[in-house]
Amino acid sequence: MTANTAALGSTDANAEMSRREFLNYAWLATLGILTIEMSAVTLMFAMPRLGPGEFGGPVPIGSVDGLTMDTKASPTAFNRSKFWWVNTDAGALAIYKVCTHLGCIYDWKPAENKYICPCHGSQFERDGKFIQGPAPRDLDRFVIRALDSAGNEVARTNEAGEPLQIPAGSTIVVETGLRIHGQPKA
Amino acid sequence: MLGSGLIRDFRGAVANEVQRLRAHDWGKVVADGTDHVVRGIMAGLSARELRAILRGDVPTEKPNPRYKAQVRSFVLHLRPKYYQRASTWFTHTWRLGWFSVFFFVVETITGIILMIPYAPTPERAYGDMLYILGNIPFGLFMRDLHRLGAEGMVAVVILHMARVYFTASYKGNRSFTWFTGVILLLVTLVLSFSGYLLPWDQLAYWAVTIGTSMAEAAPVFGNEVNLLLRGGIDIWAGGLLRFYLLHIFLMPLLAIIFISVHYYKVAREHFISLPASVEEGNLPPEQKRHAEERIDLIPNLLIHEVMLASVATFLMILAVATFYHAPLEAHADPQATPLHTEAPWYFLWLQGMLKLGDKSLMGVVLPTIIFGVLFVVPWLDRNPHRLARKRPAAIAIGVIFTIVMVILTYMGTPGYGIETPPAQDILSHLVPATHPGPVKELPWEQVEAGPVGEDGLPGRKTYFVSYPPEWVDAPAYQDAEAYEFVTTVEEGPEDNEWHRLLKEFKAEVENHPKLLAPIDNQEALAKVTVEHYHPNLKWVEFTITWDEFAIDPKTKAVIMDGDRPVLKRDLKASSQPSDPGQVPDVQRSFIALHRDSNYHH
Repeated sequence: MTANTAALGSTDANAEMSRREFLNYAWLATLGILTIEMSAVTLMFAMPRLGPGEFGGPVPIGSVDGLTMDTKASPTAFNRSKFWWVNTDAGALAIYKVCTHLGCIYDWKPAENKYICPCHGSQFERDGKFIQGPAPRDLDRFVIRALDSAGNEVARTNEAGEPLQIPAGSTIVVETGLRIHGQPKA
Repeated sequence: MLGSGLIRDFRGAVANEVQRLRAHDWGKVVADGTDHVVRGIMAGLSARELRAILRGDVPTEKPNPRYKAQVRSFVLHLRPKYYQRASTWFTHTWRLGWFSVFFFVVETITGIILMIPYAPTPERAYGDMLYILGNIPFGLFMRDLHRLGAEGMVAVVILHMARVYFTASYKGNRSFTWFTGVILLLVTLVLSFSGYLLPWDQLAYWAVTIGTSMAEAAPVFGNEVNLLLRGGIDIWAGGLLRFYLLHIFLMPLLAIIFISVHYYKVAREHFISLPASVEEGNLPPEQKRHAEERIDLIPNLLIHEVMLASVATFLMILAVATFYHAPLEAHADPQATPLHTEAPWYFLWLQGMLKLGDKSLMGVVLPTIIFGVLFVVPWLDRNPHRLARKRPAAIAIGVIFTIVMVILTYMGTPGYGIETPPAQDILSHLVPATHPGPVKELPWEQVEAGPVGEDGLPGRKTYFVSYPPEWVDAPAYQDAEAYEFVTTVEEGPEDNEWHRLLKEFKAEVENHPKLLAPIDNQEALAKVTVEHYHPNLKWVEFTITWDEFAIDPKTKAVIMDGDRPVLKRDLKASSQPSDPGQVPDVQRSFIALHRDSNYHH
């Protein structure tokens, strides 16, 4: 019996921190911090970076004179930059080609005069307004910037993403990195 | 002489040695040597002992060399020395945990073999798939086996969890084992889903696009998760490589770690649970003693497992050799989403939930809650009893959860709750975006286009598939080389595959309740034109032109103008006066047939 009690240590919850204990906490803490740092480094390492010119950056699409400005025409597809160029009575829109539901590429159906997504059947009007289906909101749109010949910005899509009246003769840049979410469906 | 004496002595020595060797029991020498080697390799088990094991006999030596082997051998030490009899009853566990590991091993072996001819880049992946399927001996076999094993593993892991839940084998010191089991369920799902992208076909590409876009709906860091997984705004080279690394490295590593943790608890701490009826039920003492009796792993249980592995492998090979083939669709195309992209079956419940509401809630928040609850089931369920009748609430919740998952899975199938325009639906069967389809498989000669004109204009023939009856006698359509009316008359002698397809098309269009023939008889409901563009190319265009009644969005009833139903196009014309409108809706699909493409067999 005596041997057993003698072998038990005297550590209890109220014991003061010894120097050795403190140092050991410090070693553990450095390893813990290192783990967190390595995780952060790995995340930053793995996070994709998007360069200018590719999708996700500013995409120049030329002078407005070369674009369809008909307010009834079918939207013009910019496939590589993933948007539809649409002109409405209120102004121009660059609508993101990806469905707001689950990321499928929806199509423009001229016969139905609307966009229909093949995955889950969401439907949108020509200007991106939600009609029916599982999508949570109107189609997203990109910020359009109109530049004059000197390269100064003369018009820019506002924060609400409303259609933009484009001054004649300006050059258009679509900012595919600046995406404005559509209005949530009612 | 000194020399002859030496030689005589040497001869004598040789003669003695030969005599001595003759006296040896050489059979015993060889047997002892062999035994030494066998024992060295087989963790101390002699050849005789190994035979005894395979014969199911009792040990040949004392102390039991089988127990010793289970201490000495790394592989055998992973397993418990003995089991209680009732915990090995087949209908108690259905060997589902064992089968999970079996499939994991099958996946590892076939997976490593499949890595040899496959490179995870958008330029090569799909081509490598075709090469594996078409050119490599046993390539199709290996890929089908890998896919079948993946499906099997997911199914068995899910069933294993259900079994442990319903037999209440997660209580007490099994709680943490359950917890690691839920981690393994997640690892299995991610393992399977990450492999989904690798064939780089349309199905893979879009199923994974949808899957990762669900991650995007996660609050706060959703966008970052999506970017990390996809390796860019959308899936391309970076995304393919990431999924490949997940599939061949990170997830298998996690699986091995957590299988080890999970099984260590089973093998060393609490063993496989006894059936609740044995542990808690009122068995007669004699039966209870029998059920709780220890039986050794070696020989009978181990031999049983060898038999299971053999039978399961045979059944897999049989399935792959006869009916089971993994699908491969057209090359991934980020610009064209195919109609009806289907999630893998084990995620259909998620797709079903997504049809019910908002994607943040249904796609992220609820699934997170479901898995969160699964993790803590042992701590939520405070009821100490294991017998089903003593835990009716837990059983009821389990049954309801299972039924809900089955219903959600059904709701997740592409046909449910998603309204594709009917014309698009019918045409997508004839001219699908994801595979060649029935038209490509027609014999080239049968798809008649009429002769090329003397003026060099291509031959052109219109097949009226569904049309106003008076057109048959209309003078404009009497040229048999340019027009043909498809009839419903039963197969005549002129019928061939092409005409059968046209008749099916006719039946589909005419039997569809939503496709109304154009009211004003200016157009046929359905027609096909075939143009012979040049000697080796025919252009086939399918057209459906239809009218629709206007439906009140609230009451879902047809809108009436007096007693005449209103057409959708009338409504469109009144709401958008500038719309040229006033015409029925049209849906077209084209397909090009080339003389040399050998889809026809």
